[in-house]
Amino acid sequence: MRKTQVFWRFLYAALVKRRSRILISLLALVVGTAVTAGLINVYYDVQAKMSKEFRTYGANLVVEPEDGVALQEPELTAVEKVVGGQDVVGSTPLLYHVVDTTGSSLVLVGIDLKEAKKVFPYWEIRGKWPETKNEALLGFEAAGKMLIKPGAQLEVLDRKTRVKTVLTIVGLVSSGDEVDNQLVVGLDLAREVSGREGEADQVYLSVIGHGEKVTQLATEISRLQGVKARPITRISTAEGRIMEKITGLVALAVAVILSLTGLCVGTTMLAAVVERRKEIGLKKALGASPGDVMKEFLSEALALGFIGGLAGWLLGFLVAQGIGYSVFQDSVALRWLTLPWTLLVSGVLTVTASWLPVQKAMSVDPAVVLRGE
Amino acid sequence: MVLELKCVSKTYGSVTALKDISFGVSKGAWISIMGPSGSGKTTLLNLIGCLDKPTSGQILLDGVEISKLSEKELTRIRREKIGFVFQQFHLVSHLTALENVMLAQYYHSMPDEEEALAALERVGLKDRACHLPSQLSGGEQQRVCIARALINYPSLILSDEPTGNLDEANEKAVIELFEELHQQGHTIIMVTHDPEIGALAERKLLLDHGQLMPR
Ligand SMILES: Nc1ncnc2c1ncn2[C@@H]1O[C@H](COP(=O)(O)OP(=O)(O)OP(=O)(O)O)[C@@H](O)[C@H]1O
Ligand SMILES: [Mg+2]
Repeated sequence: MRKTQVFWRFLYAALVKRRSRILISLLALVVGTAVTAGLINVYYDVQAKMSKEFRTYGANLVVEPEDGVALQEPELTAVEKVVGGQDVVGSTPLLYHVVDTTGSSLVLVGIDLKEAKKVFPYWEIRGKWPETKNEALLGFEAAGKMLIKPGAQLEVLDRKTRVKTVLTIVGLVSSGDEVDNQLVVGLDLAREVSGREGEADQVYLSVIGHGEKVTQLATEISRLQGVKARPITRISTAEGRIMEKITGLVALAVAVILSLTGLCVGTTMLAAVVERRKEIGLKKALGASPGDVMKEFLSEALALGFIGGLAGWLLGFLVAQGIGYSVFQDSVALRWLTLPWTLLVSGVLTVTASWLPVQKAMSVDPAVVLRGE
Repeated sequence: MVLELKCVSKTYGSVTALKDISFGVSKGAWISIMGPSGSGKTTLLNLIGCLDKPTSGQILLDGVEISKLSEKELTRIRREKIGFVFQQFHLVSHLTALENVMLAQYYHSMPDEEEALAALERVGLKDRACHLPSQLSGGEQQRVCIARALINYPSLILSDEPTGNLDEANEKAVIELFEELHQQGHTIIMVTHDPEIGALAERKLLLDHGQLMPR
């Protein structure tokens, strides 16, 4: 036991009193592991966050009437019931109705004004979001043609009944799809104007999760009487493809960074062995075996790897936080599992990088290095 | 006899560093080895100290023939039987005086701080135990080396010009230590250029071009 104690004492002295010499290796290790740990941390978080983030690109599930006519009140309630227990960002029924305005006709879309914000988060609004019954959003393309600005009044007429409704355009919406040419109002008003009480044409859902989960929910909803649901797959595939690219990129970056770190540690280690060859020769003269020399150098390397790994892991977590905030406006979860992995990688890296220098140290000939200058 | 050499030769490629060296050293003797530069003094000391193997001939240390031993066995003999004192001191720069002495104990058997401290006291450096080599004078460093060489009770103390890097005052202190060791019964083999120091030994071996000169 006593001998082990002295071993640690010597190791401590070698690390602390030679700290200026090992600083470069340590720095390389800290930076190397920090970037690696940071990347891995972000990588795992990206997977989780991407799913959420992609939801902001719109609904990923659409429910439609099986008969192609309309979704009736009981069907809507049934769908709501199924969806209620799920991980859903938001859902809104949509009701379409064609109306006339001065000089042209428009498609009036009724939506759940509260929920739609979550289902269509990519809608860009100039002005404000409608709150009361007679407030509406106008697609910006239609607004351009009709020369309407936010705050303007718009009269719409039902085609058959010629009932007049006066709306206040509180905002212009830009969505990049057909909504740019439509008139968006609350579901209640749309039902009133169209006379289709309790009905809807579609329900749009934004579900958290990957393709499989969405498909599963679609199947579940489709089992209901009179409705069919299908995932909007375009988004999920894009997501997968991007994830693949990120995985490759992260793996490449990690490999390059770790090789460079290893190279730096290896060369400084080699320089240290050359610098300390007299010390090694002396130890051998005092009776140290090549095994003892290896043990001492590898221990120093491991200690270095451990300290560098620990510091790098901490720094890496902070870096990941920074990236998390700047990219996702959200914090990155602390993954304790990355600590042992980082230490393992850093330890294996230093030992591997020290392999050649240690071989050199073991083969130092005391008769040669202790002779003269 | 602690040490016996029989027709020992050492060649480095075409260079004959030592040729047909034969002599014996009895326990408690002080032998000095003298000779011009390049005559083979260090080579001889390295062979005796099991740091190198002779090209031919036999070396018996405490009756054991060492010239045919493996590297591993030579290492064991070095740590058990030999104490080295070098001209360039060779202390580990990041270890204190005390730890440098303990290093010899560490490779030999069990480190014992008390004993190492006592060894430093013997060379008059107890109060410098916690100083690094860089904080000690040349003479003090060499005395630490002597304490280190003594710590494991070696059969032989081998010293290659221990005063070669020291000024007169330090030289005197170191030589006095060696005289003390000699009186206590240690067997000493010392290479020196200084005839005065050489004269302190009971026997002088004169080397020239790798050969032992008759007295
Ligand atoms: N590893 C080696 N390879 C080749 N030649 C060597 C080697 N070591 C020593 N020699 C040669 O052996 C001879 C004896 O060298 P040695 O170092 O023993 O001399 P020395 O008497 O100790 O000299 P000095 O007084 O300068 O220390 C020299 O000619 C030297 O060049
Ligand atoms: Mg010499």
